[in-house]
Amino acid sequence: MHRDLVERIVRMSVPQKPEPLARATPHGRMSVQRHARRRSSTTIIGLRYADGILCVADRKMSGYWFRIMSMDFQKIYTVSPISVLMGSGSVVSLQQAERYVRRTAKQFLMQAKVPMSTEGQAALLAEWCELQFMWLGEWFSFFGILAGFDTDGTSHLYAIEQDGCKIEEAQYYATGSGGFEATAVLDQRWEKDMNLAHALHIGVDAQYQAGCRDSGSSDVRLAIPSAAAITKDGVQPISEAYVLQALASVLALKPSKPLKTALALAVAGLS
Amino acid sequence: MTDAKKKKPIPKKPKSTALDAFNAKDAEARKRLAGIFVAFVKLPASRAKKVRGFIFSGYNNSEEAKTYDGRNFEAHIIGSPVMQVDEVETMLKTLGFLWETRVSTKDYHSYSGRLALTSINQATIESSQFPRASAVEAIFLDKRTTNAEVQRALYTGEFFTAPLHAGAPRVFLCGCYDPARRREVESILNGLLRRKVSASGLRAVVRKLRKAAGVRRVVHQSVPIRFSS
Repeated sequence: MHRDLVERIVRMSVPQKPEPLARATPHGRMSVQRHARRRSSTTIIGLRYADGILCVADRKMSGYWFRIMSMDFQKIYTVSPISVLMGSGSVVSLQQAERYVRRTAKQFLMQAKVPMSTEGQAALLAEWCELQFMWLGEWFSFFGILAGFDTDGTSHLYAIEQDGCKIEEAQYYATGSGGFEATAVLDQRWEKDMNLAHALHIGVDAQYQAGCRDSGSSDVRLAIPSAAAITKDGVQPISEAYVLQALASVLALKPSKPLKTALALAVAGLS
Repeated sequence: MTDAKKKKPIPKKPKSTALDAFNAKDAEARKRLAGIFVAFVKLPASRAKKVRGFIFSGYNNSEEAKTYDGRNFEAHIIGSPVMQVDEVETMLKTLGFLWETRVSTKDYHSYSGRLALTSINQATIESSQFPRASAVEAIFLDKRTTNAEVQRALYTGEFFTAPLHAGAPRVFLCGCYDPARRREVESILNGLLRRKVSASGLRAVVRKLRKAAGVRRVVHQSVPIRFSS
């Protein structure tokens, strides 16, 4: 048996590193101004609940300096039957990452007849990010969350960053430009073994806080956040009507401006 | 010069074609795998309380049976000479290492190992670059909780799959290409499906297999039910 044949077959069987994109050059294709590129300086949240993992994301896409390009942008991608990818940063980086993971996971599913594990998807994505970051530098901007429910009955929530780091989170994770505000809410309100309605309420509350203080995230009163639940049955998108119910319950608790005015009028009337 | 002294032209030998080379390699591989075998006997569900079935490997002193035991599958390899079996085992280990370091420990499934072995077997028997066929065959047993399969990879590059948890009890045999020996080995192994097997009964089966296949050693091991769903 020839050594080169064995090596060729080994290379054929294991997923290979992706080809890097063109190197960033000051005068080349990549030399467009950074702020002119479309960005989703966003808020994405993944939190565990009793049956699996809930993912919530806002809908805003910015670009061309400080313009809002879209308020209907979907940032939750189903990359395999058992996992979703959410991302923030450059839109092109997010879409390329999604394409890479979806293609690899689909190829694996076609051959092995079982979905690739979340750990495997996260490892490949982290390696891909590392390569892209090495080649493109600051032009590559990606902060993502990969969540999945494996066939062995375990759920996994991974935080993946552009430099190639991969961290498994035990409870919840929020990232993007509004990640700090969302994390503050999750720190206070997250509980173990919540039901879906409670988890969605907390997720939407975190989005509300992020939208209030972060210019890159959409206000939940202007654009309804998108949400998806990952359980042992796979990925299930949550309908807008259900998210709206959670949103109404969150807004009822907030001292918004109309509510303040109404209270003042009521007080004036009473007095 | 008389006619009698004229030299007769020597008839030229027909050039050997790729098909002749293939047939020669096929015959040689069959000869090398004439007696040695590896077999998986899948027991009936009613009797599979602790074990799913039995693996029997028969080989001579100059040969060896190897087992690769991973997280998702195990592979029972047989072949001749030992060097080729060793190479296949090393390749499965290398593949496992690469999958585990690049992807994850969960994602090295039997299809990857089977694909590598069948690719090597097919390339060596079909390509004229290689003087000998790879006479290595293996049975892959899945440990996955869903869609678990028994896969047989043959020396020709063919492979056959069957469900592990469902279907009728049966014997999966690799190697033993001598028709008379194969018939006897199959009849002995089929006998295991019809009656309960004790430890002494297994020893008797091993003795019979050794005689029927004409090999020096037959080893058996039970396949535990630990990887049922």
